[in-house]
Amino acid sequence: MESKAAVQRKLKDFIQKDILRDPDYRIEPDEPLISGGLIDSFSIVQIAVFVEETFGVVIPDTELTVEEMDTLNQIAERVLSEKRR
Amino acid sequence: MRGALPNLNRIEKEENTSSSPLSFVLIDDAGDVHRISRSNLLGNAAKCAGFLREEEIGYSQHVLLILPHSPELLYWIFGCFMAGAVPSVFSSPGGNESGAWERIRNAAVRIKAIGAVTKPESMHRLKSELKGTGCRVLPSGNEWLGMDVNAGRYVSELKIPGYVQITSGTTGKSKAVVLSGKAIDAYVYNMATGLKIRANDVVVNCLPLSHDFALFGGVLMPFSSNIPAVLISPSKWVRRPAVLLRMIHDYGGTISWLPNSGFVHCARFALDREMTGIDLSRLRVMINGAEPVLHSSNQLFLQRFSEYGLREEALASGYGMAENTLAATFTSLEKRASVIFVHGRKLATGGIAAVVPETNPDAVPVVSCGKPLRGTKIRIVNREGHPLPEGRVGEILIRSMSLFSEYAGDHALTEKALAGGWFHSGDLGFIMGNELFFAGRIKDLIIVGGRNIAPMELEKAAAEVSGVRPGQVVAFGVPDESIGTERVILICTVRKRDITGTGDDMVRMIRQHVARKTGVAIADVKLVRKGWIERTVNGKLARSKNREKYLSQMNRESTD
Repeated sequence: MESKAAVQRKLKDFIQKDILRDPDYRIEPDEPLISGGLIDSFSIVQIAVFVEETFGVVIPDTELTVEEMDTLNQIAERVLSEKRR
Repeated sequence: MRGALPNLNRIEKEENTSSSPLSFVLIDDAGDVHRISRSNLLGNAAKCAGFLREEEIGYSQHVLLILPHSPELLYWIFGCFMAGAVPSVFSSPGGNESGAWERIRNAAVRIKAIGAVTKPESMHRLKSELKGTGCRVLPSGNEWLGMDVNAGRYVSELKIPGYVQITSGTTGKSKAVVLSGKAIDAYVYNMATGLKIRANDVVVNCLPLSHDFALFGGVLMPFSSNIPAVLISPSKWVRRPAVLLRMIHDYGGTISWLPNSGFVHCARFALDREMTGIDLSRLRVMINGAEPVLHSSNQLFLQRFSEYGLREEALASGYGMAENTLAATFTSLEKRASVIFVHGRKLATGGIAAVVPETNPDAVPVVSCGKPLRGTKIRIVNREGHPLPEGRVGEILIRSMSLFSEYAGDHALTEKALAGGWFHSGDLGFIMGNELFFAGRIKDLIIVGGRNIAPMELEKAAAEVSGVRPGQVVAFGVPDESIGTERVILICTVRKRDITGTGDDMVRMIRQHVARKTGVAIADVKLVRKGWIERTVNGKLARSKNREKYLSQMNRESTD
């Protein structure tokens, strides 16, 4: 199974390149992405689709919320816990 | 125009039958489905009305409704109408959305609201926000459910006294658009007539009820036309846009709408596996509205969903705003909204819509917004206010029976906006073949996903961050076809000594503060030195000039 760091890196690359379109921006692991105004809530589904295609993990849509998906850390942990199931 | 709402004898009869027709299917944030019959709606609304009366809130008094997307919200909207009160709907903000709470407080003051209804868990917060405003906080919970009221008494008094739509102004202060009951009745009637509503129509809406499209198009128009409407939780739709298509299929939806960016959101993120078995062939009108319509977004939507039975002729569009209750123009039914190709530069700089062949290298597509609704007049004028001929770009003016009465608490702005009996939209457009085409904005308004955002509001918030020079911040929108809406750009003047390293920390702080205050995500924050920001000769911020400078100098390039 992929390490948390590897999952985080893939997520980070995707968000920087495809959502922010700013590969130079350094996203911190605990930086609030949505509540911090970096990306808007419409992007959650974009992340969910990426997670599904890349890691084969479907996050239930009741959990696709700002509270659950606001930082790289949170999303990576979510991916790993779903994979462990 | 009266009589748009159901006639009273019929409702009272319905109250006595057990098989009351279905009025609304509401899908809440968790995805739970609530079926609300007409008698269920009116019975509960009567209880809300009774509760308001007991609180001595009644005729023409203003009530704020700060409730989640739920059946209760519908009960309270209709309950206010029954009690003769004038409601305003707000989305319920989260605990740390300080800006959203502030907007509620400002609205309460502006419209002299006498009551605010919210969930029990938000009462404490709302009470402290509304302290000193004279606006009482009322619980939406069980107090009213137990009310023993003579429902018939209230039902027989159901007529819409009015509504106040809160919308973002260009000055950074939100505007409270006051609509009379007469204007709303006229609008609802004209919309139903324009759509040629039939008994088997079903409306499917996924915009928030705080948005005029949802309230007038998704609630009041279907209700008064005796057709059901499916009201999907907006946050559910944002997370899983396929839910809209699924509901259109499940409930036989015939009429629906989205802002332009919603067309793109659906097309990009409705997954194949979620689309299995969906048939959209019953959908006869799919309106692209609430923000500028892009041909490319319509194409994307059509390409994505034609294999599921979406018909090209269902694609419609319209033009409108809160000040006109909702739409002022609308494209023909059973015919796809027409698209013309005009010379891009001549349109942008010369104010002339010159039709060119699609193959012309300067050709840009413009989607028609259609013809004025019944009883509505559109006029295009130049800066001096003189009417312009067909094909010339000028300000769009509107005169109709559904125009607003005033901006509450702002007499001067009302006078200006309604000068000469016409509403001055601040939008640019032209007429071609009797149809209206949108061509941009005079006002510095940013529209993201159908939400109006005042640049000043963003600039003010950014300037509150330590190190940012007040008055030396500029915000503007840059259209982005890939998302079908605008990306918000913020340029902040800072002192060199206030920046450490690459400036990322400062950018982060600005983004977080602006998000907390305004709820807006900034696509790009640039830090600049004093003197970068362009001003007009009068020293005012020249937003369009700064936009051009940004696009030519720093779009997606690293900061100096």
